[in-house]
Amino acid sequence: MSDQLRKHVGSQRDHPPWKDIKFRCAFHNTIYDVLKSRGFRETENEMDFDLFWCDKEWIHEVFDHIHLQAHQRVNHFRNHYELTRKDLLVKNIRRAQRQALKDGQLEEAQGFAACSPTTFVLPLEYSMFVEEFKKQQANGAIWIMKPVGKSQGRGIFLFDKLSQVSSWRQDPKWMRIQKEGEKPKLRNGDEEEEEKKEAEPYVVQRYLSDPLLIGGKKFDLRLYVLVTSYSPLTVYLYRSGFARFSHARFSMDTADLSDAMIHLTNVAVQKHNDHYDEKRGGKWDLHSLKMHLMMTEDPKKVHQLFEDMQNVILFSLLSVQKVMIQDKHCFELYGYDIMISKDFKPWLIEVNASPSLSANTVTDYEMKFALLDDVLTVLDFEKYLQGTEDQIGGFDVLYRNGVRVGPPATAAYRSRLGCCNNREEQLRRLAQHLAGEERNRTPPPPSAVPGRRRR
Amino acid sequence: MDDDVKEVLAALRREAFFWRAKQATKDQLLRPLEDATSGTEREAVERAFAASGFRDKVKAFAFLRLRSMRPGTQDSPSVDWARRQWSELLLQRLQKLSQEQRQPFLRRRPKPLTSEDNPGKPREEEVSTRHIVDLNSLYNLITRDLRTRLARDSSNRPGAMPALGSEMSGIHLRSLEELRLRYGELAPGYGHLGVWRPSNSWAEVPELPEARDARAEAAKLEMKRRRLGQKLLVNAYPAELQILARFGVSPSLRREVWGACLGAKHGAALQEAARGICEWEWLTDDVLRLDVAEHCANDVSYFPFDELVEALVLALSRDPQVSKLCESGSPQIPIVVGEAVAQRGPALSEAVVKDTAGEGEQFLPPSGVVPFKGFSNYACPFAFLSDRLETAYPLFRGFYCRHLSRLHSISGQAETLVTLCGLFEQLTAQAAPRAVQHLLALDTSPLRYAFHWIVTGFVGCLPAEQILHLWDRVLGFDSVELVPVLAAAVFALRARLVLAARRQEEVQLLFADVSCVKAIPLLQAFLFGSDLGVDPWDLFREVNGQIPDGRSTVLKEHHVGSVGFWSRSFSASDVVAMRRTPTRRVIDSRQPPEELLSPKSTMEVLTPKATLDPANRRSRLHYTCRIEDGFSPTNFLPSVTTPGTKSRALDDWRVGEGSRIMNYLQPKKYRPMSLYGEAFQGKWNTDWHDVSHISALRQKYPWARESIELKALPHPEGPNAQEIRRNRNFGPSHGADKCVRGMIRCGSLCMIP
Repeated sequence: MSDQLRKHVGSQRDHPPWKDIKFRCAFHNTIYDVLKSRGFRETENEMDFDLFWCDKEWIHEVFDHIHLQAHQRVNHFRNHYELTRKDLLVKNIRRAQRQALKDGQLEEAQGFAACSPTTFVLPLEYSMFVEEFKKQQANGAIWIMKPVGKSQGRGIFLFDKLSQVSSWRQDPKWMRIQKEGEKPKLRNGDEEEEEKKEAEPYVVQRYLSDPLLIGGKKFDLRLYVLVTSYSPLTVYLYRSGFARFSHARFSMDTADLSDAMIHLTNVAVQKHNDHYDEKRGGKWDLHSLKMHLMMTEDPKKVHQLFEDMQNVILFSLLSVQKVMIQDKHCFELYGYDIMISKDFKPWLIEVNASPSLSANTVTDYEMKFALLDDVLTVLDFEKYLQGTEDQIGGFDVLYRNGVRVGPPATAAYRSRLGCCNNREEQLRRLAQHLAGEERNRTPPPPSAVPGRRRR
Repeated sequence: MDDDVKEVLAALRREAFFWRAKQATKDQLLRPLEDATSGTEREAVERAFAASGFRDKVKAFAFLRLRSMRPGTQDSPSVDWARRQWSELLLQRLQKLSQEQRQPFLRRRPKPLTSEDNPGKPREEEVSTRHIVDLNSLYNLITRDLRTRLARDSSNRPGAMPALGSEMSGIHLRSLEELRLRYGELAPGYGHLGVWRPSNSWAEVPELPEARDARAEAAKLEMKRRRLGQKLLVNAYPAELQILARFGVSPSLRREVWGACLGAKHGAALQEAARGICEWEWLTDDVLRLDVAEHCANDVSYFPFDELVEALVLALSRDPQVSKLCESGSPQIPIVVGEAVAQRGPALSEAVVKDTAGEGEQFLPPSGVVPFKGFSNYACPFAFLSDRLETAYPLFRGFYCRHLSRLHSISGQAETLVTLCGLFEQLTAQAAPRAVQHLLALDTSPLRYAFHWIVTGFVGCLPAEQILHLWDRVLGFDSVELVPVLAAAVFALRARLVLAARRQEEVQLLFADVSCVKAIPLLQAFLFGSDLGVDPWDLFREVNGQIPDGRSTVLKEHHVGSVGFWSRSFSASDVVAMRRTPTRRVIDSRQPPEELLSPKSTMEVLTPKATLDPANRRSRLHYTCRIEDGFSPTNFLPSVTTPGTKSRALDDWRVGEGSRIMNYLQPKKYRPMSLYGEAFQGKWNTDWHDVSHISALRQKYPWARESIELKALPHPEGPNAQEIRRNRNFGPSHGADKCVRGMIRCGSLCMIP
């Protein structure tokens, strides 16, 4: 909703800036609509663009071989998989934790540790996993196996006996069929060689057996985080998000371990359920979730939970900050998958570098449209902003120039996550403020002088 | 009053805690005190009672008991008739459904449900059923049938449709002024939760300073209210908590505050109902499940709770106490199934509409309320109060019996459906008269669009947060009147758009989605906007956080100022009427001036009847109308001809000016002749002589007729000099055979009239 900015700030300029902005877009869903609605021009030219909303393959194949101008932006970082691949994320978090311990920053180390449940990367750390498994077996722990390179819930299974895994490991033929049947899309030149040597990389995690249930059903959260730069780290967190519900009532019976409908909340899985309803899509607004929790639980606990979620996001980004190749052309919109356990602790499940932007319901479309519109406002192609704003549309600054931006110490609410999304009102106010600043700073342009109006 | 006290005392004696309280008080009294000397014996007892710790409990009990003893009103015969009609319709539909489904009203479950019966998976078997009755038939019953009936019963005003509510049951409907007094605490001067959204409490965003202040204030207010609420909850006295609820309840305290206000206790009823659900199956069970699946499970904000809502609704329908607990009486006349059915549950589908169940008989369903389509909406917001059935059910039952049951019960009690609809109609006619008339001209009425808002209490139309805010106030003011008031406010908010609508479908579209409405600010704007001397909708925008640029400072003073600061200027309807039309017409007012209405109009009274002019010298105005008396486009009843009633200019003012047939203005073709009139002066030839022989001649020679006709029209004396001059170019000599538009053709002449 950049209309307000245009009305207030843009009216003082001679030429509408958005008409000169050229974009390319690899997708034909909400993002395309948003780009069009902002008045940007679509271009067919391979290289002459201001913004290219590309897919991940393009980054891997083309990005290294081209030179971009200073004003051009691309929506992925070169090695985003450091954050988005499950095994690499685990590795990075663990390294950051070690580093923090070494530096004697205990709190930070705890922050890193709290990010995700106990995790092992399988072919490499098999022995360590077995040790841990035996330790935990007495508690009746259940583990979950996830293939590293796949998405949408493919290849995920639960187990509680070691035999279920070892048989999997010693059956190379089954493995190969699996591998050839669906080639993992994400693959680099050197990565491919690695994969040939190893068995298919899996991540095994302690399964969250006591998730927070709402209405007896399990859910996970999808939050949106925008990173515009890794050094200095600049993070924006979107206020809205949604909870995705599994269709069936949650139970931890061993008989049900194989039932994907209960344990997986991915829309791609739930879609195949007979009772799946197209209209509502099983998505619940984050604001509703917060409201419900506030009414049923202690509000202090709920505030703490939302603050913790913010921490998880921040620590996961901090852990990859050093590894990530900074590029001023790049920005990235992440979709964070977070689950909540019964004791109100958030657990990071996964980070997606290209969260689904196609919508299945009207409200979903509206929410995603607003999100992407705000992304474009934050990126500020039109040069409206000053760069010191703390909230732009629905995005709140979480971390800027190496400093954490947060509420004052006395604030009642520690996190704006899940609050009411007042983006339109905020943008209007922001626009008025910016227009005032601009008016003060510069003398009025000749076109604004009454009596001599120029076309 | 004394009787009331006696009754409360008698009820208290039946409670165990009363005796314990007495014992504790005695113990306190017997304990040696330091200042035993001070005060009389009565004071000492009072002190001891306070110290015993039972005082709050006894107070709360007495309050709830007194509340339940409010006197009811007598039903009027026509409302009674509608009530019975409704129950009979339900019974008929139930029997039909039972035949279709081949399922008796009550049967033992073939395989009892057990708790281990695959709790994780959704129910396998597909049940096909349908709704028993939808809101449309209720609407028709309330508006069309009941009105028709009422009009037939009371023949004193044949011309107009009777208004709902007041005329039926003799219950006084509050006007906007009275509502303002009654809901004075809703005024914008007080701090209200639900007006500013507290989520935006801290903000470093550059914004207008006053907005920031207001936001910080809202966060502080929320904290303050929560602390106050916690303090009050320590010794929960419902009367105090209700006053708290008038200003909004902090979400984290809502469950406890509602629970205390409603006096909800965990009862054994739920257990019984649960057992019943596993063993027995009523015909209505599947219908309720279908309803939940359609309404709750399809709603964006409630769908995670469909199982909880289903359990709530089923438990309520099994609860035999519901019909007794409902404060306005059972929402309908219950349907009783015979003893045989209750015992064995055979394939019989015999049932009668009866008020009380005898020995071994049961209501169908046990609660006595046959669910209509959308019934499960009532339970949805309670899922936000608690995740657990045990805590949510007492709240639901309490709230249903106290307030929600009124929203669909047809009875002559105050604040039931009929009176609520009447209140809505009255308020809309007052606040947006032109829009109402416009709708009437389109052959619909505002109630048609607001009916399901009123019946469902806005669930499913507003987001959950707004509903809870609204219901807070309903609980606090102890009245569901706020629901139709809000409905009228929504209507008034869109009144301008209504005026632009040309078809019913467009109006439907206007009111299809009202989810953007903020309940409390809108209520405030509707009730108090005109009191502040500002445009109500500006106030609404202001309260919503959109500050109109120039006026914000002026408004701010009003906004945060105390109540006494306001100056009364115009009522809401005045403001509306003044803004829309520069000169206010009679027809814009809610009630047309008395003298313009038949039969006893001032004009009639002032007209000299007989004595002044015995010789009939002066011609008198005669308003004999040519259409049958009592006719009006809205009235399709057979007219009752009463001698002496004449239709007047504003008899049909409800219909709007455009569609009125202006029979009172049209002159008659014939006139009474008088010797003092123009005929006396010999203007016309026929006034003087018998000309029948001339007309006989004309009959005989038709060729001669033309010139005569030419002369006869439009004036029998022929065109005057001016007309002849004007028409000189159009004579037949110029070949003007064709009739040009706008001219009159007289024989062979075309004339400009």
